[in-house]
Amino acid sequence: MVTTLLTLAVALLALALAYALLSRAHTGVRDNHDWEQRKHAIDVKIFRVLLDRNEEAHLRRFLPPLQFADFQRRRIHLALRMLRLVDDNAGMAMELGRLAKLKGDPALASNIDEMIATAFQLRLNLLLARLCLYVKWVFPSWAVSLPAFEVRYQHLLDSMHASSGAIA
Amino acid sequence: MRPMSFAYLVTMTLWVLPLVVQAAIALVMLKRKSVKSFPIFFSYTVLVLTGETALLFMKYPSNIYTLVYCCKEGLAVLLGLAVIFEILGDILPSSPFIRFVLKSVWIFGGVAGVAAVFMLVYHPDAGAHRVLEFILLAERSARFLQACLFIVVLALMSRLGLTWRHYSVGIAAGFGIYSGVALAGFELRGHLHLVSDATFALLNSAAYNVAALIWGFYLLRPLPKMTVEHFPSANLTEWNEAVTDYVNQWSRRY
Repeated sequence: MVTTLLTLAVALLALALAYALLSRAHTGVRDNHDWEQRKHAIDVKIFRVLLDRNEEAHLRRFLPPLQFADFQRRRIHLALRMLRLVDDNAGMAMELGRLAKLKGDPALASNIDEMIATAFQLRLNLLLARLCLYVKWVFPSWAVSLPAFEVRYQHLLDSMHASSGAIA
Repeated sequence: MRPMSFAYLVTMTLWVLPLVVQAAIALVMLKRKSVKSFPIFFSYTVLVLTGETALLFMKYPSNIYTLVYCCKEGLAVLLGLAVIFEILGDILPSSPFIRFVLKSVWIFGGVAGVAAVFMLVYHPDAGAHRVLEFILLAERSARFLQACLFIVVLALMSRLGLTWRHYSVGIAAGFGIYSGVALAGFELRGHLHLVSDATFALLNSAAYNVAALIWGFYLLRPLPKMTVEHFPSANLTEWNEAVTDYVNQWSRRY
């Protein structure tokens, strides 16, 4: 029974993801002009202010709890909208980078690879950030504390880099 | 001579149509020199094309038919798994972070492989036709592993913002759909015995046709000519730092 459920779940998930990939694989950006027209102008400083801990503490101190929750939700809503636009920008930049890579310039190709890797990492982080923001939206007054997983993750990455360097 | 019933016509169409599409794909790949980028997918295409064409003209049932079928299926499953890593090599740029992602995919593949072997070994009921049942269950395990790996690849692809211009999207989506339907079919036929052999064969064949048509759509289209003058600047590093800083806040008490 468990294997049946697992197997059917895997089959359905594979189908759903393949369908999602095909339905989202639209034309993308075609050239620099297209990029200039479609890119979203968003300021990273505003994003930082929206999610600043000191700002939050300040608001918590001076606003009544209900008003604080309402205000905090509006800030989170705005931050989520910004993240969606950043996600769009990162996707378009990756596509444009891949097109630029077609020129066959090796120096440029290495820079583009780096940019695509950063954009990919950013888009993975965006998933996590969105999840955090959704939790925060539901519990705006909750002072959350989680185990420091990212520290272990960073250690793992560092040790992998070190071992790759040693092998090379 | 066999009667030209509707069922026979449908069966033959579903058998021959993907062969025609795959022959065209192989020719176009040779012409565009894209064999160098996707040698395993090309080998898979040629293997299925030659194997199925040979089976089309062989006497059924016969020992040689069974031998050719089993060899072709075994090799096709292996190449289908190898294609996954070929796609990853094509879509992922080289960087330390990406190498970490690739290693994670290998680990996930290992876990899915162990689960697939477990599903094959610990199967309580072998049924009356032990050999046939074993073949079906072995193929189910292989499809399970393939579908698991394609789930990871498709999820990564959705984060990489790939568009219809990329062959990898078509190849992965085609395999994803085929492995998903085939896996469900093997579960319903080989394990649960809920569908008849005819329904199972039709389902499998129809899914393969869909996959071949997707490959055809992606690989047979004329190549679009795009020009990009300069490299885009989108302050992604700055954004990545801002988002990472926010996520990191969650691991500290505030």
